[in-house]
Amino acid sequence: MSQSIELTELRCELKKKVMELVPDANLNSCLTCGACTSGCPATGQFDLDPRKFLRMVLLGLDEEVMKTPWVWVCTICYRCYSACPMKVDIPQLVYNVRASWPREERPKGIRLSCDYHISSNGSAMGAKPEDFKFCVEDVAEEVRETQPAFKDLQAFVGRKGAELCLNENSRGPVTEPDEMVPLWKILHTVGADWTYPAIMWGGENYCMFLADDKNWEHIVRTLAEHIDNDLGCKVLINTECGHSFYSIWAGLQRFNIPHKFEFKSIVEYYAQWIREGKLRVNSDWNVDNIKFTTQGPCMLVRKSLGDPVAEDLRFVMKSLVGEENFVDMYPNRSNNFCCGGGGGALQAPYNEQRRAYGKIKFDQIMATGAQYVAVPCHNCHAQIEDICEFHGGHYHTIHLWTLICLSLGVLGENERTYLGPDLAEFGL
Amino acid sequence: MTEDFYPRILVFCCNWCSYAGADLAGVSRIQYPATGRIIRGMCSGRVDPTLIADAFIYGADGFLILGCHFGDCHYIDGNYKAQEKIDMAHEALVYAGLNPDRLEFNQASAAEGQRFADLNTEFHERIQKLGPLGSADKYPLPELTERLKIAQKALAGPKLRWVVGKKSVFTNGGNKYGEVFTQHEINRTLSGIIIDEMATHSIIAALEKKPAAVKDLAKELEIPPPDTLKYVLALNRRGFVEMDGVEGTSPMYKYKGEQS
Amino acid sequence: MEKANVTGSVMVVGGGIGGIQAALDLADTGFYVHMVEKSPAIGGVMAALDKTFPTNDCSMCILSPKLVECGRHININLMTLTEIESISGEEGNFTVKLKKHPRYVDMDKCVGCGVCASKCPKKVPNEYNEGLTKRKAIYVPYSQAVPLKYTIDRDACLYFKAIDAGKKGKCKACEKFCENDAINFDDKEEIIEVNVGSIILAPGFSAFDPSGDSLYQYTNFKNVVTSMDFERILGATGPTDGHLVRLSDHKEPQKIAWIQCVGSRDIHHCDNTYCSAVCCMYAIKEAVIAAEHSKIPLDCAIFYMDMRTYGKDFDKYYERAEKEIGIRFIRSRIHTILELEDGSLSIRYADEQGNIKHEDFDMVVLSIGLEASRDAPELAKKTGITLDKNNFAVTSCFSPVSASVPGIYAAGCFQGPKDIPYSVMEASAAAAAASTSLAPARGTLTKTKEFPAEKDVSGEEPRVGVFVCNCGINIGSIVNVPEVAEFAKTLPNVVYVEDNLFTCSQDTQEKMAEVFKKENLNRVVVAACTPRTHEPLFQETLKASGLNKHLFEQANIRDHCSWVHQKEPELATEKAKDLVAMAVAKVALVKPLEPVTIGLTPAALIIGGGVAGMVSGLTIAKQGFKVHIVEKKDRLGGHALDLRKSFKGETVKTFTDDLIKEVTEHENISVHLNAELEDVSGFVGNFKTKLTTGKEFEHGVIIVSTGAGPSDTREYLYGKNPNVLKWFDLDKKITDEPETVKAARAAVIINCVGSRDDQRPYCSKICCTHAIENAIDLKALNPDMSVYILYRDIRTYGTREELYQEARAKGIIFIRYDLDNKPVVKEVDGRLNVTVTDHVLGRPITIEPDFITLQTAIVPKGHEKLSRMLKVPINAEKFFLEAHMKLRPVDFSTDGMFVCGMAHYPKPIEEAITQAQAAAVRAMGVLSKEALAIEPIVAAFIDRNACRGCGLCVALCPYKALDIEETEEGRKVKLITAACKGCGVCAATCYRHAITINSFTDDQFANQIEARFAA
Repeated sequence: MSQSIELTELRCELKKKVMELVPDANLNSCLTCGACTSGCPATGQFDLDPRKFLRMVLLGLDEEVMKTPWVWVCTICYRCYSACPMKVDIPQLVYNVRASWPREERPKGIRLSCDYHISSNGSAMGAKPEDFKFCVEDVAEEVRETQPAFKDLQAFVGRKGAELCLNENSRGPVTEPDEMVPLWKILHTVGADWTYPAIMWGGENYCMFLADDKNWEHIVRTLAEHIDNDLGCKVLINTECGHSFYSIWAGLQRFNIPHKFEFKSIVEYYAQWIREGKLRVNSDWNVDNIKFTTQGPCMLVRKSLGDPVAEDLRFVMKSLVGEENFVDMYPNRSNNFCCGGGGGALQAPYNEQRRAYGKIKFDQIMATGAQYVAVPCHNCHAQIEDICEFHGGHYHTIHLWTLICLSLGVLGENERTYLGPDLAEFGL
Repeated sequence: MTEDFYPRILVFCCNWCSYAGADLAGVSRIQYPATGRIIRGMCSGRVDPTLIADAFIYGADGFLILGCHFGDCHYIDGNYKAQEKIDMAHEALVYAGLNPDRLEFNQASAAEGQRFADLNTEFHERIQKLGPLGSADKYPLPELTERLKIAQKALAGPKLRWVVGKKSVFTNGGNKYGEVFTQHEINRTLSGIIIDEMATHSIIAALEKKPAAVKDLAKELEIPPPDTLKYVLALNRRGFVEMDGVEGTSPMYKYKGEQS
Repeated sequence: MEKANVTGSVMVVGGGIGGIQAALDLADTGFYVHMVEKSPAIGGVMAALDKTFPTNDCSMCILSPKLVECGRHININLMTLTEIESISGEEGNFTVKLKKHPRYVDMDKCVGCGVCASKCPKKVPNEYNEGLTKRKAIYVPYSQAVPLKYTIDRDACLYFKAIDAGKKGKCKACEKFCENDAINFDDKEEIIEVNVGSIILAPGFSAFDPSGDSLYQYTNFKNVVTSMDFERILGATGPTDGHLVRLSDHKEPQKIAWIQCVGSRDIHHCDNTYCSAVCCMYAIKEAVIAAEHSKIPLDCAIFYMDMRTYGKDFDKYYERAEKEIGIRFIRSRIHTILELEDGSLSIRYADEQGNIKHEDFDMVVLSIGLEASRDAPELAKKTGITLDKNNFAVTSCFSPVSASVPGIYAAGCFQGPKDIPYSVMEASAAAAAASTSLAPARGTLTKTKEFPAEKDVSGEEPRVGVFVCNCGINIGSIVNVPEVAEFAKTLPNVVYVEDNLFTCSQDTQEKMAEVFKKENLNRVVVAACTPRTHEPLFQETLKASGLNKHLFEQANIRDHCSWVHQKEPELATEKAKDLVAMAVAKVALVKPLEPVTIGLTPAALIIGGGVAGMVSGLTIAKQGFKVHIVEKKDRLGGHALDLRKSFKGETVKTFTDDLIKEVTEHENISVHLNAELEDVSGFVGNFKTKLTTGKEFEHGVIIVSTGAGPSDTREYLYGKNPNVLKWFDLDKKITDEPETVKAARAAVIINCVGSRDDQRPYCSKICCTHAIENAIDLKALNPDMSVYILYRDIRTYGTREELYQEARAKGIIFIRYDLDNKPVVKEVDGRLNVTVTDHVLGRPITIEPDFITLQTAIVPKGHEKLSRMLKVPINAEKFFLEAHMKLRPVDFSTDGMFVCGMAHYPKPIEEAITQAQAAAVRAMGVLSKEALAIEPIVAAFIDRNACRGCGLCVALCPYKALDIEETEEGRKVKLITAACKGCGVCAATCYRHAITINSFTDDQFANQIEARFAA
């Protein structure tokens, strides 16, 4: 990339376009100070970093900018932005450059997920609402039959008048139905009045990763209208998933979608229920002092709710495993490093770069010495598991609900996929 | 020289340039050897030749005199006048046996902290190589001191001071007969006077101790006998010495005390 | 003068260095000053600094004499714990209502002994040490505070806390133990009314508070400190007693990082669009001092965006720091600081190529920015003046110290971030501006100081007191001060010895005066810093206690000893002893001397008729003194005639034209065009000048304002291709042929042409801003024009940064180049072709601009000759050298001579005007006197019995201060005292030893030499 640049007149079409779309992205204001570069985990991938990428845009090297796949390795995690003295919104630039790619040339994995979501009116993995409903009811029935303590457990889809509406990651019903159960048990335990939505129930939004504004909006708007008009729920709770949370949180604002419900993360509810004594979790079970850490999803923390939700997450973790057994990563909270699985990276074809990106997260986790990483996010979960294997780590990646149920002593036999051998049999 | 010889150096600084330069070296924290002791005066032109002799008589291993750069003197040309006097003192002291490297006149401005430190460092190193006063000089101590005292008397006397004082007048405007002297001529004259004055004061010093004959004086003072006779007769004429009897064939002379 | 009914006093608000300077200048030019300070003591931020750049002067050392002078000046009414309540009236006659907060300590009774504080049970964070130590509820802000009177902090006091909570007050320990009955719990708030003619506001700045920042974690990580904390850590009276240790574990650091622009140039983590203008230099200074301070090798790294060393000698300081001290400069803004288990701090950063590096440091210093004083909005409200969006006072570049209300002036950081010398200049300028309209009332409210009758010490045996100063740790950390003090006791004539932490502090001065009396001393030696700065202060103390001020000698054991022998403490101690012995030997022979006064010519000579010269001339003329402006060219105006506008966008031409007209028409000003100096003779108050035109006149002061101009260059095809322009050519083109300029598709501006290289190791200061202004104007003429600025560091200091921001926002492309990889300009097929490596992408960029503008260096011309004629120094770059870089920025060290404008250093127009006003008020310090006191040390003493009247001395005297007279005893030499300057050439020549110089006698010299070799 050291070929010379002929530059008499600056055309900068791309820059102009993005500046029109996002006038407060301050693209021109760059001081070339490098704070973004040093904060970005994607620095060095495809010989680029946020500063270089922006510089190319500012110098009008549009063709080169449009060619580099770096925009699909960048996870739009906003860590560059958080340190930028000039509030240069490089993530917005990346998003809009993604949007400038011909749709058919954008990574197939992401594109197809988006398309499935739209066509199925339900989720990115294409499961149709009726399949989802059947699956949920079937699994719930099985729990009621096999687990006497939960003989009254209910899981509804599209129930009108429920107070809470909860979305569900499509991996649940499609590939690991038993992973849905712990959360149901939690909701049951606290006596929540809840339902899944009947349409657009999938707690993900690949159209956002695809930079497909139209379909991103469609998913969020459909869901919002469904909740307000069909169900009348007071609160929409996002399940343990970061990008899903952000797609709704940002989508409601970005597309100015009217809605009556309140939108919250399940993590906030976990913390609230524990504080209220509804979830009587404790850490007494952790007699072996197994160490735990947690990854707060960028989409949930830095990009949406900030440090308060990160504090909730830590409160939940400490309640579950014991203060002394919780080891934080550094940096953390709003300044956390992205794991590299966000932004659609998991569905993009640049695995080598994604794993190199994830090395920072891997090292951070290893530095904690924790045996378990609890992550309230499906993308983080998949990525953290993947980099563990790739970089030769030996920790386990789990959902929070698993840990909560383990602490409550209600984790079923089939609900332990992600636990390590030390806990696989625990409490059975 | 021995490693632990730490020279005793005096440094004269003028108030406006070199003293301020020394202050600047301080505020700039420029390090130099801790051997110099600064005496402050208003101008290097204030340095009296007898003061220079004083320094070595009291035992200084070196004397560094620092003024303003030529052309920059706060007092117009005080440093030029300093140069003339210091040159004269230098010649007289060296004639008396002082190693010429022990006395230096140099310049540092108020803005030259680094130069001030460098000059001090170089001078220190030079004196350290020479060793203590009396070790690299024509005579050891205390003999050197005795001779320096004689030089001091010469430097305090009217002859040298008059000529050096008038130097610029002679070289620029000429004497009262309108004769203009070249630098070379005037310096040669000065050198001659230094030799005369040194000899004269040596003789006085010797005769102060005890009366002596011309030939003994000549031998003791290493002055050719005819010259010795000439000086003694001149002193006699001016009333500084007088005959004090005759020993053998030689008339003995004795010191009479200062006449005014 | 139009206004006759004006009040001859001025109010100065704020007791920092700016306020102090303004107060002293006013009080010394015939105006009574009411100085209002909100806190219990004056001194401001400067009192908390360790050293100052670029000279590394100890901050307290240079400030302390001014504090003391201000504190005891008869024409300064110091009101501490006081704030403005309201203002009424108008320029010339204001009535100011002041609120005086209770001190709860009787100022007249308190002797500052500190017993109260030692008994007070309540500890609170000490603001002076940035909260790193504790102070008591009854306290003095810092040990050298002026006034040194205790104060009860009502919010902290246990007694008041109970009272304020409606309970019965207890404790009162201070009251119980105070031997002087000085505690007054019944002290009440007072409202005072004061009449003044003008008001100067100088409340200073508030440092940026990085507490909330989650990336740098100042609050949570103990070894992340602010630059202000670090100043205190370096300071002798700081939390670690001057030992450089980190706060978490008191270990000596081996690696320290500085992070620049914390709270500056940042619209994200704060709203500070401006550059704080001082942080680059203070960070380098802190690194240099830390490296020198540390007993172990210390690795210092400064992380920065642009290195803004734009002031006089700043670039050389930067170079020295990098090349000699080994400070590492890393161009990278830090994203995040991480704390390691042992309290060390880890930094991940990107180098310029974008490579990621990791480094661990023992400490990290955040170079925090300067924000407007927290009091500014309130002050603006009460005074009615306008503030800008950053809460800095609004001023025009052409009247840079005038606030938006007539008669109210703003100085120092109150009107934008700046360093000490600039604040001092502004303070002096404000004093000039504030007194201009009050000139008719000069001297109407001032008082004259009375000293006690001088004690006759003739016939007394010398009784010498020796005071050895630790100077904080400046001396004490190297020289063994107690040992020197013990040694001093063994010296002849010495009857009293003591050592002090800061001998120059006001309390020490007061105690010394008492000791003089108690011990019946008749000679005093202070072993401390240099007499060039502190002798007047100590002499004042002698006078105050009834001793002739010449019965004093100072031994310089700091500048000439501890500072220059830092690695040889034992030898330094030996040297200090010798210096003390020499001073004691000298002082024993010193005799009282009577001052001599002479008249003066109340007129000024201004050399150079540019803006600076005209402003200083006009300022003086308006105050009623005669002014001669000498200009080489055939017209006034200088380089301002080539300028289009100030950085604030005001038109220079209108201003300059008006100024020329005013100067030309003013009755007190004579303009001498096409003229240069042929000869200057005389001395302060009594100069005589001959011009090349043959004109001769007398005057009392000289102001040098000869300016500087753009350098020649042959770089970048200048002179070969007509489209390669110098900066002022482009200015002209924009004004004269905007259509041609508009037609251009692309333009390149190259900065630092001839600046900051081996030949000229200095920054020309104005070029970055000028380049950006022109670039913005090009964009305004043609928004589609591609404009490139090739630079090395962008140095848009202060609010100029906003122009840089504007330029970037307009799409102007900034490309950084290095000295070893400069842009290459060629002509290819008749077109200009520029190649430069992009600093981000590392790839060569070629541009074919329609024209190239070169920001050529600013160079002085013809200064050598003038320097020689006036006997004032120039620096290596041929700019005139002021008396003191920090606190005497417009004075020469020669009395009665001043400098302003670009003759001093390249500077923008508002700074030149400020300096010109400052030089004017300093000059007025001479002109406004009825007569000048001549230091008798310079006068010669003639022993008429010894003199033979030979006339040798008469021939040699450079000042014609000696003459022959016929007397009854024959020809004798006589002295013309006023002409004598004390060089002593006569004394060194006289073969009769009949003439000597007071205070520099042969005996004294001989005694000093003897003392040195006595041991």
